[in-house]
Parts: sequence; structure tokens; C-alpha cells
Amino acid sequence: MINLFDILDRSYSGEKIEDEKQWDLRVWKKAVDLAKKYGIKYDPKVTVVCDDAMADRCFEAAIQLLAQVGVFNAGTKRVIRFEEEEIRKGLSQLRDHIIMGDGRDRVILSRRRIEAFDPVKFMAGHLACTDSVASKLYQAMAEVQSLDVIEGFNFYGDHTGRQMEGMVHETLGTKAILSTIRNSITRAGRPGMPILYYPVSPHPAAMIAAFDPEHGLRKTDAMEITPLPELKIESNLLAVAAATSEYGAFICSDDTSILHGFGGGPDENSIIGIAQSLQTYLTYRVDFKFLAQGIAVDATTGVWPGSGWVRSMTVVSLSRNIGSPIFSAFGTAAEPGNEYRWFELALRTVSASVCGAHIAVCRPTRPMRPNLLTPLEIEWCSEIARAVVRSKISREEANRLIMEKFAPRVKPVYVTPAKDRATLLSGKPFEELYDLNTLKPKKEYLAGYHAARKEIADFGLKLEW
Amino acid sequence: MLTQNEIFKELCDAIRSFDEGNVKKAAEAAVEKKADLMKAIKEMSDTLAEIGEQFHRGELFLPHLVMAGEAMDVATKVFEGHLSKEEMSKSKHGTVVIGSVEGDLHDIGLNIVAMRLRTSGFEVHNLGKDVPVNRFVEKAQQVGADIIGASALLTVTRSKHKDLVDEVRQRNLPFKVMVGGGPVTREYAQQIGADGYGEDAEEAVAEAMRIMDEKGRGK
Repeated sequence: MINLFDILDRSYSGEKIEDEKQWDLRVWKKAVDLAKKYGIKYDPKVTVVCDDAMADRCFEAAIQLLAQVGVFNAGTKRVIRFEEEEIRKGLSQLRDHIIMGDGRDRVILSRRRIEAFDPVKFMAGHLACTDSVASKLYQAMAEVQSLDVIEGFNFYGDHTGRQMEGMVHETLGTKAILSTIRNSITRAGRPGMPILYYPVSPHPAAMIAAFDPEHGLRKTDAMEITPLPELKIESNLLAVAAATSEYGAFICSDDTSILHGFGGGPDENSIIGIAQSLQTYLTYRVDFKFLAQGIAVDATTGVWPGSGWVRSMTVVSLSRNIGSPIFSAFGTAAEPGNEYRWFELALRTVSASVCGAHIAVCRPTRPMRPNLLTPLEIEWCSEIARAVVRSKISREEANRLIMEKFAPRVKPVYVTPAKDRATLLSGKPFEELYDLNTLKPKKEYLAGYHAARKEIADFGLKLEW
Repeated sequence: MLTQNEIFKELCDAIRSFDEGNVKKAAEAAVEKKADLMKAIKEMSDTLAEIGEQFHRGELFLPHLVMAGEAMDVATKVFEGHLSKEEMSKSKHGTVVIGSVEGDLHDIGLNIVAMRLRTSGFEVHNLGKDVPVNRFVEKAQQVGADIIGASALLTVTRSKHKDLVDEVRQRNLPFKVMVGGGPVTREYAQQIGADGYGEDAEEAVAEAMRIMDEKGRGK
């Protein structure tokens, strides 16, 4: 693996590019050329990638992109260059599993293989929460036994009467958030449950404040570090990566490539997205991945078939060519409690389960209010994944299921003009869907779940009960 | 010898194919021919708007908008010495200084809004991400901006919008302030006293046009 100080040296000595836009254009143009050269072509009839040869070519194209353009450090405005050999060597040294958490809540997080039907691990969080709801929501989530890793949240609005804004509040907010999560998982009877810290702000002081074995992030937990799309990193986040390594906690990167943005169309976007994942293994030295590739510029169209294809291509390509655990993260267009949310989550779960990913259940891609995630949604994704694994559904079958059954079901979400979507996608926050005293779903919400469950069973997916 | 219309067609075709070299040649030919340069700018703006529409329909991507904008800039530069200050000013809807607020490293939505404003005929100065209030103001004063547009994607950085609005109001500066970004709503924009809000790039363009219309009517 490349030494962190080498990365730093290159960050200060590489080619200088003052206008970041010129970097974005350079990456995109090179990816367009590579997509042609390697024959990477999106097929609108495919949302689950079954063409392994194309997935391998896409991986090769991503290595070439990384070797030919490098990575941009947005802090120093310089390009970090890699030799092709050091990229390949670095990637060959990744660990295929890690052990997170403490005591009986320990989790072995392994690389999943395509259609090998290994059990799927679940992670959930990644949302904004209000002060009054956070601890209840996190306790209720931890009570879901199929949830393996709990991801953090940001305070929405104020905490103990103060806005969490500015360096001091963000630093104290970090501690407050982690303390809330630790108390919640303890109340749920899972004190050793692994935590992925979702930073409240990108300031290194606020992030590093997370390290605290007693009340904060333990060495068996993980820090989430987000690279900037497309193929960019930040000096401050390199500092956090260095501090996390030295502390001894795990590192997870939240990798994104923006479809229709500087990441271009599906063909080149898949190459850029995979290269983005590869570069964070080398720069931030991550242990596992939170994949968010293929998010469309219009974030509400998360189910747009091209977006699904890009994500599937990323997962298949990484699963086949590197040996590291990956989570596919699901944002949706619809809010919890909205009927479309069930189907968006289900179709993404089917795709990720057959392509070789673990699953991260998240709030809507563009959240317009706080507390938009429920424990029942985690159970929902987990029972869908179990059905896929138990029935040994192939990628071809999964593609047919999604394109013929799920896609028509969620079509209104992505054909309705953006300005008219608010009502269509509107749902309710956790506190309106759950009884906060018992931490159980309310009747009406359960009825929606059962209705969706019945429809899914009618699609031919064999659920457990 | 090409006619004026043929030169304009070459100019617009070169923008459509993002070919800065041919844009420059066609622009120079237009100057040499003593063509109606204001008409040339209008035709180029229409071409840019057409490219913006293609982006909106998902047929073109952000890099295409950037390249088209840069191609038009090449022509505008060639025309600069041949147009009066007044004519240059008439050739655009207004000037916008835009950026993500201090502490916010997100710039995807920002870039899209910036490029859609550019392709809709605004002069845009994109300051990028992590921009302190004083830099927004300094740049706006330097370029004589009409609008300052600020974006925030984090709940913890959203309050910087209010700092910006307060700074502009307290110093009685002549700029209108528009805000947007994930956690920002129209209600929030109204609450902090912003002059405009865009939920997405299309709404931001419409809002900027509305602000400029109102400004033109002296509101």
C-alpha cells in the first residue's frame, strides 16, 4: 500500500490546476474515451448487470482512468499521480474481511461474492434527526436483530436548545451524537454493536472529536470519510484518515459519482464511479465501502433505470475484482410511509443482494425534513434479501423481476416532472409512523407494509412467512 | 464569402459541437464582415438555452453545459472590443456571483445552477465551495453583481445564508440574495429574508429572471 506521506508529498508537488472545472472536464473526457475503447455501453433494458466480461472491462477502464489522470486534491489544487503498478499492488493487498463491534455484538464483515448467496449484512442510519427523536429512533433501530452496523446521524435544528453550527458546536455535537447512539444501542441490549460515524461536519477537529472509547467511537467502530466526486480528495480529510488509522478504528468511504453531472452519462459514469472507489482505498486507506454511485443530478430520480445500472455495474465490477466488503447504499425518492418507498427499497435490495453487496438502508436521497427512516424498513430490506438469497435468484432473474414487476410499479416516481413530485413522494417521519412509547409501528403504517408485502409476494418473491 | 446568416450558423454550430477553435474563427469572421454582433450574441444565447433544455431533458450532461458556455465566452471575448459597454451589458440578463457557503464542501448542485444560469444568459462568477460571506460580497462589488446566489447542503451550514442576507442588508448593499440546497426550503428562505429561492436549477433560473424583471421595474 502506498505510504500516506507519499500521498501528502504528491498532494504538494503534483500538477497545479486552479480551476477545478478543468479537472472535472479532464476526468469526464478521458472516461468518455475509455468507455468507447473498452466497449462500456448502457442498455436501458438492463438494471442488474449480468455481463461479467463488460464488468471486468469497466474495472480495467477505471484502473486506466486512475493511472492516466490521477486524483485531485481540492485542498492543494494539485494532482496526485499513481503508477499503474502501485494501483494494482495496493488493491491486491486489501483485506477481504474485518471484525467490527465488541463482545456478543461483534460482526464479521466479509466480502460478498456474486450469486454465491452468502448472507447479506445490514447497516442503517445516515440521516438528520431532531434532538427529541434521535435516541428513540436509534434504540428502535438497534432492536432490529438483522441490523449489523448502525450508522450515525446529524442533529437537525438544535441540540439542548442550541443550533449545532460552527466549529465549537460541531465538535461538541459529534460527542453528543455518539453518546446518544452509544446510550441507545445499550438500551436496546446491544452495547457492542458497531457504529459507523456519519460526520456532522467535514472539519477535522469535529471529526477527530469522535475518538473516545468510553462514550464515543471505539477502535472496533468506523469513521466515514467522503471523497468529493469526481476523483477528488481533500487535505483535511486526509488528516482525518491519518488520525483514524493511528487511533486504530476502521475507515469507510462514502463513494459517489453524479450521473448527468460531471460524471456524465451511464457509460462513462460507471468508469468514474469505480475509479472513485479504487482511489479511496489508496488515499484514505479505507477498510470497507458505502457505495452511492449513480446518484442522478435530479436526486429524486434515484430509481431511474440508468442509475440502477451504474450502481449494479459498480457493485459487480468491484465484487469480481477486489477483495473488500462493500455496502450498497439506498437513498430513495419517496419518504417513509409512502407506498413507493417500499418498492424502491425492495428493488434496490434485490439488485444489491444478487450483485455481491451488503446493504445500507438510508433516508430519501433528498430529505426535506428530519427523521426519515424507520426500523420496519430495515426489517423489510432484510426479509427481501433473505428471500433472494434463500431462493438463489440469479442476476438474470433479478433483472427480469425488477424490469417487469418493480419498474412499472415505481414508474410514476421517475416520469412525473420534478415540480409535481412533492405530493407523490410525501410520507411521514419516524415519530408519526411509530408509537414513541412502545417503539412499535402504528397500525396504519403496518397496514401499508403488509399491502406492499402482499404485492411483492405476488411478484413471485418467496418471503419467509 | 459567407453571408451574415451563414457566419451565425457556423458560430452556433461550433457552440453545439463545443469547438472553441471554430467559434473563434466564426466570431472573427463576423467582426470582419461588420455583422450585427448583438444579433450574433442573441443567436448564441438561444443556442445555449437550447443546450440547457437538452440537459434538462437528460440528453446532455453537465460537462456539455460547461463546454458550451466556454465556447460562447470565446466569441464574446472576440466581440468585446467592438461593442460599447452599454451593448455588452444589454447582451446579458444580469450578473450573478454564486458559491457554496463557508464550511460546505458540496458543489454539485451549485455547478448545475451556475451552468443553467450561464446558459440562460446570465454572467456567472462561480466562487466554488467553502466561500466566506465577505468573499461573496467582495466579488459581488468587484463585478457589479445583481444577485448573490448561495448554496448549502448541510443543516449545520445553512445558517450561513442568514449571515449573508444580514451582511447585505446591514451594509445596505445593492445585491439581491438567492439561496438553495438540500436542507433549504422556501419557508426557510422567507424566514431569513432572502430575495429568492430555487428548489432546483430550473427554479433557480426562473427565480433569477423574476428578480431581474423586478429590478428592471425598480422594485
